[in-house]
Amino acid sequence: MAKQSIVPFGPQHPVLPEPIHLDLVLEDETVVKAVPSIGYVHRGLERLVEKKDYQEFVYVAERICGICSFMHGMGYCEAVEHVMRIDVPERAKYLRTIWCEMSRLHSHLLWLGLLADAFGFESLFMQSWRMREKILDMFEISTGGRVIFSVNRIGGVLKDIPPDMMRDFLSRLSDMEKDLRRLTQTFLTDYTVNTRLRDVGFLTKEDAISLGAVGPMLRASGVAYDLRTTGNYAAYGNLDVQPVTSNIGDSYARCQVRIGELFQSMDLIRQAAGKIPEGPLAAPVKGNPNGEFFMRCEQPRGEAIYYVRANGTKFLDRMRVRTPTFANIPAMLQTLKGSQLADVPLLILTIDPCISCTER
Amino acid sequence: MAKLMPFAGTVLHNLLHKPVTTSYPDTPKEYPARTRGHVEVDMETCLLCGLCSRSCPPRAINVDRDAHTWSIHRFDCVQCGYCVEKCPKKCLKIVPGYPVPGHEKKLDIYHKPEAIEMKMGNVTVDLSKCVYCTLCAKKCPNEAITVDRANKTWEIDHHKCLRCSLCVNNCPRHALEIHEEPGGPKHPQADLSQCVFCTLCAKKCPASAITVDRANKTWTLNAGECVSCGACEAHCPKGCIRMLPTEP
Amino acid sequence: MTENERNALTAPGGLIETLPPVELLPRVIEKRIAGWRLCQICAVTLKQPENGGVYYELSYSFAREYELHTFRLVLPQEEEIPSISQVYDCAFLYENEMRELFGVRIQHIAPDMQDKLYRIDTQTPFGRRK
Repeated sequence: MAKQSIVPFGPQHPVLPEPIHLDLVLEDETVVKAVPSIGYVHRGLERLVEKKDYQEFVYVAERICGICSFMHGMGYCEAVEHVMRIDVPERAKYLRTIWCEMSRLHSHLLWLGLLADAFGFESLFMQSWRMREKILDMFEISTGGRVIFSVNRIGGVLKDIPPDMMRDFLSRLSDMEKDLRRLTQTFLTDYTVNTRLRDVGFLTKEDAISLGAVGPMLRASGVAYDLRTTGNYAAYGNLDVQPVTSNIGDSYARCQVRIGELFQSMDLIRQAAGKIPEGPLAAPVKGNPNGEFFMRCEQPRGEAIYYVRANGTKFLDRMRVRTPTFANIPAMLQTLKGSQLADVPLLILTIDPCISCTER
Repeated sequence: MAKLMPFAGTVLHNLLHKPVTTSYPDTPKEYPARTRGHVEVDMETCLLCGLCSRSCPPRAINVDRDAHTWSIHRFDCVQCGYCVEKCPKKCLKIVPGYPVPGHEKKLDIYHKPEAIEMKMGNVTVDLSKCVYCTLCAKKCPNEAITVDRANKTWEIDHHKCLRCSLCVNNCPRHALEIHEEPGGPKHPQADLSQCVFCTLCAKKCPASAITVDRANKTWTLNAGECVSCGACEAHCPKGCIRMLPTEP
Repeated sequence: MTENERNALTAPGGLIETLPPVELLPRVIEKRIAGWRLCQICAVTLKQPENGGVYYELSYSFAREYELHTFRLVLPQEEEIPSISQVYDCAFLYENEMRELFGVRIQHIAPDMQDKLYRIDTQTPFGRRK
């Protein structure tokens, strides 16, 4: 048996957006096993439910993470709305859907930029993030913030997108689509990018299901599972969503799935903007919540579960976020087995790690 | 199906066009109208009720009713806008323009020119309309109202009442009323038969308008300095000071 | 399973079924054989209203297609339960987190991180209730 050595990876690494530590057990250059260690950005946010009442907690929930900010706030609000049996007005549901899809656009563009940075293609990294700036501008015009939006409240939304703003956004999206098609061609067809991505980090369909992988990790291994098709939250019941899948199962497939979802999001925004009705923005909230609920939604990284438990006072008993990265970590450790040391940063990036969500 | 150099088109385009970046801070940044930059307060309308301070998630706002100030720690504020939502008089707004970076963490203090609650009279109830639903007691931010449904009693502690009008606005039977009192601003008057000259009122006065002489047993008010905040009335251990409207 | 329970599986929020702790492992093995995947494991620290005693409520959620089925266990603070990481590999992260942050006594987690997953200073910070 060859001699084994242990190389610590992280918590500081140029390719990681957030700190995570892995102890890699190597034989020569091949990784045999990886042991994770998290907790570098653990803020104990879930304990704050004991100090901040349930309406104030929306502002804490959306600050769990900067990339997935909107959907954390929305997931928490929807869970509390189910517990209190509040009917959210239709217009608020459509507005939430539009902001969710814009979040997905900006998150996938961020990931594409980080992927390009991981294999050293700095110009492609800059071009992806330049596209992303246009979405952040749209967020600032409609909600007031580029990263943290503060636009969700229990019962609906706080701000409106009037029709002329909506038309302006749709024309910006059309301009962006042309540029994006040119940009994604580089990711999909460039020779050097292909050498780094193809046949790296295989995850079979059976492994993906038994290890509990979610999101593009699961869809790239051939399982058509997308919570937006159930239509259980926001306005997805009225929109036509088809999961984007691939049968190959390697890192190239995951890149392909995320690029496909970019164009799917643009199409969904156009559908929602066409169908949005007039109406109030929020329903009134009376009393305190009492009960519990599991709310599931499809974040850009996969399926997130929000568990809210209330006992009739204005402070909740428990709020738990099970983020998609938490579920993808075992799948990531499986893909690391048998890979080369030089591919490790890339494989960690293919699950789209959002460690500050994972550790709260 | 791998191509060679599909990125070349983008590179050529970038070489031949001007840069996308702007030279900030030389070219100033134009913020859209809804940008949440910092919180501004209109002290004329502010009641110092403290609802914004109670609801601020990072506790950046502090309201001192005795000293008559509304203050905000600019560094702690996360520009969430919850205070703007909660203010009953809508005197707060969140406007574009981020706080300027500096060497120290800024604490901005705003003074209130005159106490509005001393212009507002007491809350009065019409017991023929009241159904003892307890909604006013629940809405009161300072817990000044006590309602007993079983025994059908309604009481208010006028010292705790902030005159914020939340109870008046929320009563479903319109049984509560609050009016502006005539007679101009109020000044304290001490009942010298009860006064023990402990000098507590003079110590608590933020404008140093009261002078108490323990040896000679005198109590004098400088009405020109008095800001009608009512701190002396609130702190007197014998309850011998009352805020009364001055004659016009 | 009754008709109502079958409908609740696909409704938002899924079906929540309370089990005694001894039945956990046999039911989990049944789920594994039927092809369900582990969604999440959650713990809540609560106080009994009568005597202020602290107890845990654990929720084990499983999903297949778009159905969600949650097993609810009510556990006194001192009781021990077996780990399900021998059946579902991916459970080790959730169970290590529960043991480190809440103080739930779980036996035989594979691999066992020995309270070094989060590496925090305080012992079981979430296991207390004011």
